[in-house]
Amino acid sequence: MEMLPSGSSRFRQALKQELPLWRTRGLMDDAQIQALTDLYRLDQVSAPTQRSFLSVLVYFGVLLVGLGVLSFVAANWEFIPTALKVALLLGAMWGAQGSGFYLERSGKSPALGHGLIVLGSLLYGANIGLFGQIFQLQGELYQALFLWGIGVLAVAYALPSLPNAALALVVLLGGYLDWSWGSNSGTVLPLLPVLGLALCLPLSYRLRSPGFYQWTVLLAGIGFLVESFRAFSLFNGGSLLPQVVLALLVSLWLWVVASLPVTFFGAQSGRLSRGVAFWTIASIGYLFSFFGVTDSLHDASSGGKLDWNQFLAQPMVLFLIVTTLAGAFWLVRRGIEGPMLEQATVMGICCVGVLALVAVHFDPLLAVLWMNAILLGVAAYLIRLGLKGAERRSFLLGSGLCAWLALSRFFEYETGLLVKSVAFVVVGVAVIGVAIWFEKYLNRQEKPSNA
Amino acid sequence: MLKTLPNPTRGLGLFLAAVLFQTVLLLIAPAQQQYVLITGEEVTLKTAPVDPYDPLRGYYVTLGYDISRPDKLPGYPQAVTSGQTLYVVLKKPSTAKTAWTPERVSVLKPELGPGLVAIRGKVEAGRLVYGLETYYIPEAKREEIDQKLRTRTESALVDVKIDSAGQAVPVRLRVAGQVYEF
Repeated sequence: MEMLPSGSSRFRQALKQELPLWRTRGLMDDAQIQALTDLYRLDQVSAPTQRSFLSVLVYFGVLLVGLGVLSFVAANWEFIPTALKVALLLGAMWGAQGSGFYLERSGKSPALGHGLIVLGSLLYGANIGLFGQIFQLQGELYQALFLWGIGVLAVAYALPSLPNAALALVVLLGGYLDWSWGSNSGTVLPLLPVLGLALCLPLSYRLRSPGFYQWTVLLAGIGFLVESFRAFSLFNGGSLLPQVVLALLVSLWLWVVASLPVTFFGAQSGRLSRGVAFWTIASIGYLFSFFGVTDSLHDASSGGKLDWNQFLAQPMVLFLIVTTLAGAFWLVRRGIEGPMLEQATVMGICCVGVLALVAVHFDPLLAVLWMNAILLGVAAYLIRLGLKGAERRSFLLGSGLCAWLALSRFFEYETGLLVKSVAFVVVGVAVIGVAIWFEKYLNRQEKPSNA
Repeated sequence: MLKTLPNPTRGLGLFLAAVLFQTVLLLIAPAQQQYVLITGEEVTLKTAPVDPYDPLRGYYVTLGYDISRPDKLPGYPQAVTSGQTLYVVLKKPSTAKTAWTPERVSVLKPELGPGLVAIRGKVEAGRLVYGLETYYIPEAKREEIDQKLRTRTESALVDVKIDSAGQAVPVRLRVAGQVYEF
């Protein structure tokens, strides 16, 4: 498969700034510079300050103009014949889109042009509502939002345009939430996260936008979780175990799918989603480190109420398992390594730790020891990551997790106030000590390289 | 010089297709509505705001109909499921401009004699909904209609058009002899 250039606007701006220097120094000739300009679409990149200032101003301006047109129609609602209302509203929409397209593509004012196209998308949404009023149309809010989102998505594909794509994603999410909130059943609703993925993932490729890909994947993951929870509330017999297993499955899916475009977009791509997946699994592990939870788990598992065959036969579960395995297989074939492989291994161990508790009827005390040991392993991984990469965040998270585990155990069991106060002081002093030690460690690491 | 030559028509075809797609999405529902208005038969229904003390919510009134209530419908089936489609056969009144009355309820699309029209409804939360429940009102008429609906609820009527498939669209609201058509 063809490798895509990085979509990061910061990188493109930096590249555009450097190219003239490279040419004057004779590092590149005109043909090479033109090839890079075409590949990274550098002709569409403007200076960062100029662009951000212009964009904010333009988007604010076009929003005001759009509101003006809509208010004018609303204020004269009764006196304007229907045909004229329709013509005015469609004219405003087409006018914004047409003039925006011309200004953008002619290069006369790309920022204003793109702003006008986004205004066209907003007017299209407003028109859906106003047409509803003009023609006395009946319907649900989510239907209008889906109509809006799909239309904006088409424009986002056609240009391609990231602001329109982001607008479409937000509007479609709103539609999904509205429908999901007001409905408990149906065959279409559970398919929406898959449909959303099918509509938005190719767009992220067309936009060359790792950010859009990651947000799509993250929101789809949340959608899967919501839909699965809804599906399993029907047969779980009051136990939360299917939901726990599903949360693990969705987290693994999110991690794998968020990691897939690393080859295209670079190693930084998907850090947010991978972080969300990692901490969701760690949080579930933390939940199971409490005696009360593992004890109730023992009751639920032995109660014979859960039908795991029915769980595995759910289309959503099958989809998640198949796509996770296929994605993981692909990642292994591409040879993921280093921090990503380590993170995946730690997540896998944590998942196996929880699943073992669900599958095997451990003695509750043994289960608590087992889960705490695994969590200490997670903390050790984070500390090691921090030390290895001289990275404060991971180190502090790892030592923080250790401290949190220690405090949780102190507060979980019946101990006197004095013991609790000692625990606070000891753990607090330990955290401060470790933090100071790490800063010294970082200084020691930096000195040889500075020398 | 890094700038490539701008090309105002680059991607124009795709963009036009997307805008056309938006326009089609915008016009589908109004076109269906217009079709019912042109081909449908006009029928008058007895109505009342769902909340008689606070009829207007923003720029619309939520209306309930006599024929929305199963207890007012002769021959309403015993076993119905949420989301099920039912047809209510309405009989033309002897006096013009008064409400049509429900004759019977049918699960399948009924055969109709002269003076009868079938309206299609859907079971939702123990009531029948017809897609006539929201009536939009312009800002200038809000107070007047709100006042009339509060004081003369019993006189509220809605004229609707119903096509051969039973699909209905609201045409005008009548309260206390006053006609409101938007």
